[in-house]
Amino acid sequence: MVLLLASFVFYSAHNPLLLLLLLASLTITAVTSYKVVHGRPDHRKFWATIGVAINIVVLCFFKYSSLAYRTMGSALDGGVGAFLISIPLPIGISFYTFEGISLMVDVFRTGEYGKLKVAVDRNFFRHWLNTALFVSFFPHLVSGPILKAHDFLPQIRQKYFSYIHWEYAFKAIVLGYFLKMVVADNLNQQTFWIAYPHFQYLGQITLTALLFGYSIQIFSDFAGYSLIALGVASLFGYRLQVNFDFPYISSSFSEFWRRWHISLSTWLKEYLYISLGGNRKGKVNTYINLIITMGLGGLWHGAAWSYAVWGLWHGMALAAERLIRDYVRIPWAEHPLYVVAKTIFVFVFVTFGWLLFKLPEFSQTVDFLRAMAANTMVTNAKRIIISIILFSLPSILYHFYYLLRSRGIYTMGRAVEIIVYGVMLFLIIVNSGESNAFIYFQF
Amino acid sequence: MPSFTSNSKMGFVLLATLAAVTFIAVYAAVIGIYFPLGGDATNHWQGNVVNAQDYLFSKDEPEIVIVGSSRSYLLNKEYFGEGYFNLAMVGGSTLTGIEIIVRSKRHPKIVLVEVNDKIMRPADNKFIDRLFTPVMYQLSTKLPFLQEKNQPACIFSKIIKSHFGFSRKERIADRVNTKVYESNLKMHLNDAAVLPDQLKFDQSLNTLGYAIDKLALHGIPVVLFSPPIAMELERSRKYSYIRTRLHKRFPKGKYLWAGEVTDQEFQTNDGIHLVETSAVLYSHILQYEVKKLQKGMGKTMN
Repeated sequence: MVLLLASFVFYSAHNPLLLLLLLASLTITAVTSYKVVHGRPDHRKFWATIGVAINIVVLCFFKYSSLAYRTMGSALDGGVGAFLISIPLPIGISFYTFEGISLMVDVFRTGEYGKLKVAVDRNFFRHWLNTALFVSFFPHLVSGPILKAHDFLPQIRQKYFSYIHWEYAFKAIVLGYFLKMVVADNLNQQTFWIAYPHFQYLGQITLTALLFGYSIQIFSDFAGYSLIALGVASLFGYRLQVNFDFPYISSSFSEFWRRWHISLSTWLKEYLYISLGGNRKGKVNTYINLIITMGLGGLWHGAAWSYAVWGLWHGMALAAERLIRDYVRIPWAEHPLYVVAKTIFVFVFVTFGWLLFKLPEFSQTVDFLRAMAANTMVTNAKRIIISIILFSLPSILYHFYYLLRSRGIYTMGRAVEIIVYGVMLFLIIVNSGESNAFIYFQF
Repeated sequence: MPSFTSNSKMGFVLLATLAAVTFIAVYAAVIGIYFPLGGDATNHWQGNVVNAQDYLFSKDEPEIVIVGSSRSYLLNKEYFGEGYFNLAMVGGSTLTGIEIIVRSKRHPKIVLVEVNDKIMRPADNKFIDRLFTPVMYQLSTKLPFLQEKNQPACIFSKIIKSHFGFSRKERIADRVNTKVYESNLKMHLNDAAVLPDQLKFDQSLNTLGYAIDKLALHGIPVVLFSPPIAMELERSRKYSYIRTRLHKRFPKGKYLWAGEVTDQEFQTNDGIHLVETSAVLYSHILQYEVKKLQKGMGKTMN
């Protein structure tokens, strides 16, 4: 109860009015999910559909109204257009509506498959409290990770001080703040130059360095946030799903999506891709389902078509990879050099995709690529390049260490680990960049 | 990625914290001994913070302070000699510099205020608030290693620059990239074909007037100046309009002006920012005129 009230206070600190929307949304989810489990058996599907539909409508109305206005342009001029553009984007809405859908689907599937995925309390008020805490638990509320009902709800019970894993919490929080404040915030001061029209006047190597830096920045920013959320949640005795698992060492796109924003990719897989038919309806449908899932997943990130293009970019890569796997047999697929080349290719492909995140207009992305190809004679900015290398280094080492550890080549001893965390803490204090909102706050 | 199943004892937390405290102590000593002047900023925004903190925390009281945008930032204090401090900000505003002077409670003898189209930029309150955050302000005064210029990355940047950076001779010899120059100039000329919003410009003039009055209330004389830009821009509709309005709002009889050189060609690298040789030349002109004004002020005071 205390944790729930604290979460409401935390959320309303941004805009007290939006708390009403959160309360309405979670109450609808609680009522419909309760009805699915404890209502009339022949109405189960009806309530589940209502619950999912309302969450989708809420998300679309608040998140995509401005996109509808921009897309339809003059057709919506006047009162309707002005109304659509004026609708505020409630912070965290993309996350809590997805969590609402997760609860609906989980309780529905509980009955469908005859096994218990999620238990719904007979006492409605207790179920409402559980749903409220699941949706609004403050460490994940505004920027994820996206919780799954079947993962979080069983954890709601009386907590004791002795449950706290101090070392885990400390490591997650220190590493998270380090990635955010020392790596991402400092890189942010450099990658500012990707903005239009500044990039047009920079040299080819500088532009390449900026793009690389942004790739590292977006990882450090979001992985940093997720780690802080994990660490803080663990201080209250809750275990949240790990959201980033060294994504830049991936040697395939499917591996990348098993390692990047895991809570979203698993959500998309469990609740969208599988619902579309997954890989059960033939090869062609599998490719199409992958592209649709990723396209919608891209659009989830923001109300702009460039996000959908970004999603399709990844969807097509996943489909192409699957197609190659289905029809082409590569004899040297396991050769280390081939794996390294594939890892570099995946990283470069993903990195180019981030341009669609950074530049608000698709035409600017094209201009950036043109400048990258054309600005061979423009002097490069050494300070920017060196700074990007310097601030990217911790994230590179972070991935590199994982490779060493996973192959059994080197694992840090206890003493080295203490020193490493001490250094991170030291750098958080003396070398943090200008604080900026987390990139994923906008989603 | 830390493991959730690791033990729940506090030993690791305490030891890592102790290690961090030790690193801080050693680092503070190293900075004090080997890098008393601090390092070099790794980006323009940080450069603004370093500059502002140098102004706030330096023991010497500068006699003449320059406030303005990136156009004045290029007037390196080295070009002027002792007594000058350049508090102009890249991407910043004249109003930010004035607010820092007022809140710092330092009293320079003269403040040189850049006046041009950039007066329409508001003061960066987030930047100012960050500088004057009570706890950090006090800590940065007492513990210099917490100042921006003493960040390990800045120290590293200084070391790298001393080995691989451009020398001043190279910087002066660095030629203007014609393609970039023309493209920028075209952009600025397009922009200069349209007059600024009159209401907004009037508001900016009033805000600047109010800020200048604040300095006057603190007994600090103000000299207005405008660094030269490309001649085509100087003669454009927008810049002529702005000049006229500025002179009307701050007439020469009532306000001190210096460094007005609209009839002389200065070289810029993008139409609005002076190249180093021109910046040196303009600094000397400005310094000469300020000296004359100072003499005049001295006589008036006598």
